[in-house]
Amino acid sequence: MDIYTVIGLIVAVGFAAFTLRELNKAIAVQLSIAGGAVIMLILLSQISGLFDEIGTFISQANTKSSFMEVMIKAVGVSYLAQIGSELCRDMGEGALAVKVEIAGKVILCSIALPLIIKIMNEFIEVINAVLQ
Amino acid sequence: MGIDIVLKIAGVGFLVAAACQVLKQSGRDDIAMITALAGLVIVLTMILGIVSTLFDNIRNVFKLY
Repeated sequence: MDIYTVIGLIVAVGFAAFTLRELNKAIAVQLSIAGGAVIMLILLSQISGLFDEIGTFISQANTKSSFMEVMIKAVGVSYLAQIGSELCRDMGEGALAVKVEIAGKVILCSIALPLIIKIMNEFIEVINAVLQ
Repeated sequence: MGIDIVLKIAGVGFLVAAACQVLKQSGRDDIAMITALAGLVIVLTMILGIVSTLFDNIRNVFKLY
């Protein structure tokens, strides 16, 4: 799968949606949703290979794999939030799109919070050790 | 799972639009609306499967459970 295939696919979907928009707006939106889903499905197989590579690379560095998992989860949540908000925006619901984005940010925070607390605890320990 | 579903949706859209135009010209506006609605539902059932596979795949790849 190279970039030319993806561009060709997207342009074909865009052209079909553009032609359909004047005739039937609801089906044009659904067409763009389906096109986006097809393209994302094609790309996801490459993304999973990429994450496997990064995972083996990180496991060589003797760090905890839970950190890597948090990062991958954060990327996934932000992808999903962006997809959802763009779908809402395509249908002309800007307010709902903003709400989806806010939900993504909140969930991202709750995913990353344990790591941040861990780092802060390390800092506090170091500061206490220095001050004593 | 490929480009064929997109082409199918585009075909359904064009067909429904043509049918709607014909029905509207012949003065059957209510049936035209029902036709548009039926097209919408058909396309929705087509994309529901693909969107759910997309979300399942994202969940698997990004380890979201």
